[in-house]
Amino acid sequence: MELVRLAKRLVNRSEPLSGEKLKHSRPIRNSSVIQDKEEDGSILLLAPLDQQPNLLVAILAKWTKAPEHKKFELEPIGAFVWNLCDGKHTFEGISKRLREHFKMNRVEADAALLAFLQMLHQRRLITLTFGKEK
Amino acid sequence: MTFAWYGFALEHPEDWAPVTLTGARKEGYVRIASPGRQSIQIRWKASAHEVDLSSVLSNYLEKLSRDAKAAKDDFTSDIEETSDRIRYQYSSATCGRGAIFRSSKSGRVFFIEAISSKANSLLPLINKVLDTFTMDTEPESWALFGLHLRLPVGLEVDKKVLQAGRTQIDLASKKTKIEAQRWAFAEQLTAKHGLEPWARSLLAMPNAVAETSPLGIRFEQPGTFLRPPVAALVTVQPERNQISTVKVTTREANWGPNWNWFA
Repeated sequence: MELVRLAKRLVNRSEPLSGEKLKHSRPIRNSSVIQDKEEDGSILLLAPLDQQPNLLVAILAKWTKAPEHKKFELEPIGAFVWNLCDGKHTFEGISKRLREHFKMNRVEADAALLAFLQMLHQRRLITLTFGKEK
Repeated sequence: MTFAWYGFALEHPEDWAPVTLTGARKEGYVRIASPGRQSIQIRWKASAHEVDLSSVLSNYLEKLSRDAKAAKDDFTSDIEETSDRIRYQYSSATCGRGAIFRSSKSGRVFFIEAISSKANSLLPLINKVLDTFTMDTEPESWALFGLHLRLPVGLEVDKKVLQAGRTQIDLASKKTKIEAQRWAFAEQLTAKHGLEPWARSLLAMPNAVAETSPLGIRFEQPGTFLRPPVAALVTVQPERNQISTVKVTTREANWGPNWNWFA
C-alpha cells in the first residue's frame, strides 16, 4: 500500500475531495506553511516543497537545489477565506461570512468556496477536521 | 429576489437559486432550489389552441401516481378549480402543491409547483410564488442571480454562463445581439484600476467613447461598413456589491441600450 501511495504521489494522481465531504468539514491551515501579509490585503504563502503532492517535483527540486518553498499568492478574497481556516469555522460558517462581507448570494459563495478549498486541500495548504462548529 | 425568464417572473427567497434552466420561449423547464429540500419548478409549453387544463393535470397526476406505485409509495392527490387556474396538491415520498393555468396572450400553459419532503411547509410557499408570478409583460424581464434587466420583447437566449461571482446571458433577436453580465465583488474588482478601465477591458471596447453619469458609464463604438455599432452600459449596484453591464451590437436604431433596461 505504501508503494501505491508513493507512486500516486510521484505522478500526483490525488483525486479532489468530494464537495459533500468538504461541506461537513472545518478547514485548518497547514502549520508548516509560512504566511506573509501584503499591504493590499493579499497573502503570500510559502509551502515546504517536500510536502507538495507531486513528489517527483519535490525530488527534482531538491536535486537541482531549487528553493525549498513553493509560493502561492492569495488575493484579498482568498486571503479572507484563508484567515477563516482556523479549525473553528465550518464550511457553512465560512460561506456565511463570505456572503455577509462580500454581499454574495449563497449558491455563488458555496461554489466559489468549494472550488477554493479543494484547491487549497489538493496543494496541502489546509487539512480538514470534522465535527461541530466551536 | 426576482427570477425572470422568457417573459415570466416571480419572487423567491434570497438564499434560493435557479439550478435548472432548460428550453426556450415555446417550451421549457426551470427549477429554483432552497438550501434545504424545498424547490419550485416551472414548466411551460405553448399551444396555439385552447387547452383542456383538467385533462393535462389529470395526466400529470396519473403519471406521478404510477411512479409512486412502482416505488411502493402511497399516493394521494386533490384538485381545486378556480376561475382562472386549477390548483392541486399531492402527497407521496415527495409532496407537491401547484397550479396550472394558460396565458391568453402568449398561449403558453404554465405549471408552477412547490415540492418538498414535507407537505405542511408548502402552502405559504406556493401562495407567495403565485402571488408574485407575472407573465407576458412588456418590457420583458430577465433576472437571475442578481442580474435584472427589462428588455424589449422577443429575445431568445443564445448563451448563458453561470459561474460563481459571474452571470452572463447572451440574448439575440434577428438583427441584434445583447450581452448582459453581472459581476459580484464590485468593490474588490475595481479597487486597483477603477471602474472605467475594468469595464473597457471586460467589454473589449478599448477605443470606445466613454460618457460617465451618476447612473454609470456609457460606451459607444461607431460601426463601420463591415462592423455594426456597439453600445454598452455599465452600472454599479453597491447594495449588492455587484456590477451589471449590457452590451448591444446592432444596426437597428431603436435597439440602443438605455438606463431603464436595468431594473
